Amino acid sequence: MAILVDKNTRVVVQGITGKTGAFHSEISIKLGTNVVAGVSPGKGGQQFLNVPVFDTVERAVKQAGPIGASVIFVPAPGAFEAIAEAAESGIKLIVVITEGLPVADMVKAKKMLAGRDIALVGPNCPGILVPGQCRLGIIPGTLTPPGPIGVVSRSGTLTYEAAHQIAQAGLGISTVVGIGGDPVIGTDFIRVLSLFDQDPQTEAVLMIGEIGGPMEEEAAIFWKERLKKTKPLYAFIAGQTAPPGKRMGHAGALIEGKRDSAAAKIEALKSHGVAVIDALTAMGRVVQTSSQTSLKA
Amino acid sequence: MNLFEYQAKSLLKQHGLPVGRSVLIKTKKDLALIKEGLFRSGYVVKAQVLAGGRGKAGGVKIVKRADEARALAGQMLGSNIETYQTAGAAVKIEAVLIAEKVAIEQEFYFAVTLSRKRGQAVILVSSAGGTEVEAANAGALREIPIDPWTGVRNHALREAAVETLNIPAPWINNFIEFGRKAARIYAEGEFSLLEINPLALTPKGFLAVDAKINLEENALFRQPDSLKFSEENQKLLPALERKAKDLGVSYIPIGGRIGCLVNGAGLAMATMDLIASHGQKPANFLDVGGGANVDQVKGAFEILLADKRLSAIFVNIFGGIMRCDLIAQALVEADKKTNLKVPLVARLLGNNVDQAREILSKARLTQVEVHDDLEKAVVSVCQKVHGNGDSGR
Repeated sequence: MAILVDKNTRVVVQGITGKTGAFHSEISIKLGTNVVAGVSPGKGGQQFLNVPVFDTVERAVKQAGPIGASVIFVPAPGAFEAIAEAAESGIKLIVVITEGLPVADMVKAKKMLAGRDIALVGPNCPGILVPGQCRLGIIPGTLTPPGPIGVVSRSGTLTYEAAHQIAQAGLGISTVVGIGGDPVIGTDFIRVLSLFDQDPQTEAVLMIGEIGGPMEEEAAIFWKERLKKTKPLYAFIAGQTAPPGKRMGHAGALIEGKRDSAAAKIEALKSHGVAVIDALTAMGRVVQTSSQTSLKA
Repeated sequence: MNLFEYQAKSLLKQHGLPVGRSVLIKTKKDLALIKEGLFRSGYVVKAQVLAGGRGKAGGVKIVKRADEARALAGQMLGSNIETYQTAGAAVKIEAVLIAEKVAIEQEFYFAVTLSRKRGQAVILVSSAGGTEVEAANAGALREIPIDPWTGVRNHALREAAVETLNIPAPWINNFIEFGRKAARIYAEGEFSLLEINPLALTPKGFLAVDAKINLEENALFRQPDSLKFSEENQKLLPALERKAKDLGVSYIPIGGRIGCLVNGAGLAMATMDLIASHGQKPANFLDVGGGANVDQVKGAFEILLADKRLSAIFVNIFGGIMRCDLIAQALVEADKKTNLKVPLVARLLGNNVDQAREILSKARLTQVEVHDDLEKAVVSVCQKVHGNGDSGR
């Protein structure tokens, strides 16, 4: 079991023939991902990485059969159209790896999808990885074996670091979901936490947040008030040394108000009973300790 | 990227929002534009800097006569100013705006920005305008949502005018018109922030006494006017920050002694935090990104090698996608141009790490120490700075 996707998920890659799309699709296929179609306007009819390429997602669905998820590598100027195209072709999970999407486009995309049964993950995210089964995006697939820890994160390489430490600690991961570092994103911590809550494989969750926005605190409140709390929630917050008013690499990593700082978030999370990991180097160790305790209990 | 007040006002004026009369002084020669009797009501002399808080720092002065305004503007131009938003460094005043003093009956805080909680843009208003709004708590701000397709609703602006701002009845429709225009300018320009503080109600109507615009970098590719402003203002950045912008890497100096070079924004922030938790202060945020090429990483190393305030450099590369040998090669090339004079501790893990170690040992960079364990690496770099008798603070 995993969340959102598994080895059977039939995947289309939008932008499969582009440099990044091609590079990562090849790796994803090697990792076992069931890529059944690629989309690249003007290249319909070709085969690429032994996958049929179509001009539109609509044609891909018609000719390759039902598709469960799309991964979008389309460059920022065309990304909104690519999201709309996937949604209108009936795809229920849309993962946007593209970085640099204008905020206005994401605001529109969110409005467009509101109230529809479609999950949008990203943009500006590393995607989703189910170790040993499926990879939608760019998360290195060999860092960690399958296991009991669910990981959800706003950051890419910090997540790889976490996955590495979890593996070093002798554990594995059920699913990694990179939700992205932009100020407006499709899927938030809350949504992923509730999916992990229902997933039998996931025994504990590591949430990796950073400065900027209200998402971490909202997630902690949701976890405290709405979930059963049978699964421990660990959190790491990056940006304790970040100065206010500066965008720290991610468009969304910006301290605009008092509650945006790492210190304020850590305090809020602790007040809601979330176990906050203080040191970057302690992620694996802390999660390991907990898993031993919960196994004993 | 922020715009100067004069740039923001010119944009607002161009789109039909009243900003009052003013003249811009960029050189000593321009001082002659402040003619006798230019403004009868008085002159507001305003230093143009890309940071807030200038009023409290002496960057805004009101005088009665043109000769006084000329003298003040002459003093300000080219001098340095330090505000609570300039991060402990003084910035040069590149221009001075001379604005006509207006009779203000009421003043408000007015802004259009993104609400991350709502995932859409909002107009923010408060009855406490001017410098007071910074002291006022955020709860006093009223949010008026802007729909991305249909814009802002009249009734919502009217409700804010009546309930939050106490705008006199004859002026309410003018406020609604002002709000709608501002929302449209924000959306069409794709700004991150359009702030008018204070928004003044004068006997002649509403007027933007000050204006601040923050551009959204991601939208610049389809906003040619903003791109022009952005390129213009980029030239005024300190040399190392300008170089980083040109390279397309994120670099933010914060004043410590251990320079950092990391791949990925989250890991870069967390690495700085880790250094701080070991009692030293990181000098900068520097994210070379996941897909950087040798030239970009080499340029990033050159930025650190050029920073004379550094006592050591810490490199943290988690090679998931990035190749460690590329980092090593870039370091060797950067060292050829500017010699590495301080100790450099690198934590390299992942793709091609063995090749990276080989490149570094062949280059005989004796100041370079490579680890794969992050904890050991950070302890080592902090000891090196500490060993120099330098607390790093």
